[in-house]
Amino acid sequence: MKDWKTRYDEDLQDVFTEAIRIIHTYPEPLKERGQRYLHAFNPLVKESTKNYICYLLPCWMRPMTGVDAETARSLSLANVFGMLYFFVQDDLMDTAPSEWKEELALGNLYHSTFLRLYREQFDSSSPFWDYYGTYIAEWSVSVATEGMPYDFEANPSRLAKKSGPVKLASTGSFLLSGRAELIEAGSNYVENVLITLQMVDDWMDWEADLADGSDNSLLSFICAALSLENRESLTRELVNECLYSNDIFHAFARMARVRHEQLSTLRHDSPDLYDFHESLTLDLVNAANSLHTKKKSLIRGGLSQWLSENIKF
Amino acid sequence: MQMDQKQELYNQIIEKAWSDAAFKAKLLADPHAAILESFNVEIPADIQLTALEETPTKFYIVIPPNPEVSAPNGQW
Repeated sequence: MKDWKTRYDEDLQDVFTEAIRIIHTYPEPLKERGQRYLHAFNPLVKESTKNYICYLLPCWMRPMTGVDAETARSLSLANVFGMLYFFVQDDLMDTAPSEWKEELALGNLYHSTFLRLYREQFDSSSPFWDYYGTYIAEWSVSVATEGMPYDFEANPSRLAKKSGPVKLASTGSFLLSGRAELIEAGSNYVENVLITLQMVDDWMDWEADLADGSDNSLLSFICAALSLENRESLTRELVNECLYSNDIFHAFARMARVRHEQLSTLRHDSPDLYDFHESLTLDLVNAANSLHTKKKSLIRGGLSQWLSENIKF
Repeated sequence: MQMDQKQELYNQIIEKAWSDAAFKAKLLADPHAAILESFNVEIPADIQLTALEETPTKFYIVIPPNPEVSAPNGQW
């Protein structure tokens, strides 16, 4: 049972109802565009794209941060607008959409709301804004250096920096509850989860990332395993071969499993965050096992594999 | 258990060909029809099936298609 997802349905209902209301106050023609964009990422909409850690982190971290449910919802709402703002930035950087002016303008409205909601919790003298500056700087470096070679296995924390602003919700929670001494521990916990989350995203997106040259930890891991200096000689066929023919993907998934074992001492601090990480880890481990099983089936021949995949018992 | 059952079906086809000369003849001539008739499994017509019989001095090495990793789905 994925309690980390289902436990907070009422909170999410409140948060996204308020988000819709806020965007309804935006000026035209950006109000309608803003609603459409939110709809695409609203977790309460069946076909939407999900980003659970962004809006559920303040709720998950409550046992560790000590904030009440209402405060967690406020920070969740602020993070929703942060999420929308950074998604617009990603769109503009990755795909250069034809309506880039309208998107850029909308992004600024989201950003204005994002800041306003956090300013309601933290005045200008709060150390919250120092952390804000740090997380934004780390995000900036991360997106500006995308595509540059790096050793993923030696420096996995780099994966977490692009999503670092999500920590505003957890860091802000610690400040509001007077537990600033736990910010570093909380940040490390969240960063570890963000690393595995990015690994799962990279497993899902490797084909697209190979095609358009985007950063991808799985592809970097494969390059390192093959002693390739860069991705120039990495082809779709070679990646397929690596994923099936040797232990590369098992080793990739093992990194997440080892990280999960290291996080076990923190489980009591935030059971839902721990369980979310467990779901991510299992996704990778099960995918590695599934590839291994499929390979064993295929080696017996095409008919054997077809029967495996198509005959229901 | 389920995966063992699916592998078992392939083995059953081979074992029936060993023990039932009529089935073997039909399998070699028309694998689709033979498998449908004896196992009630319909393999689509757009999948070309060829059955080959080895002998003690003639073996076949069957090279399956290269595995393809299909894009996984997930929502996190």
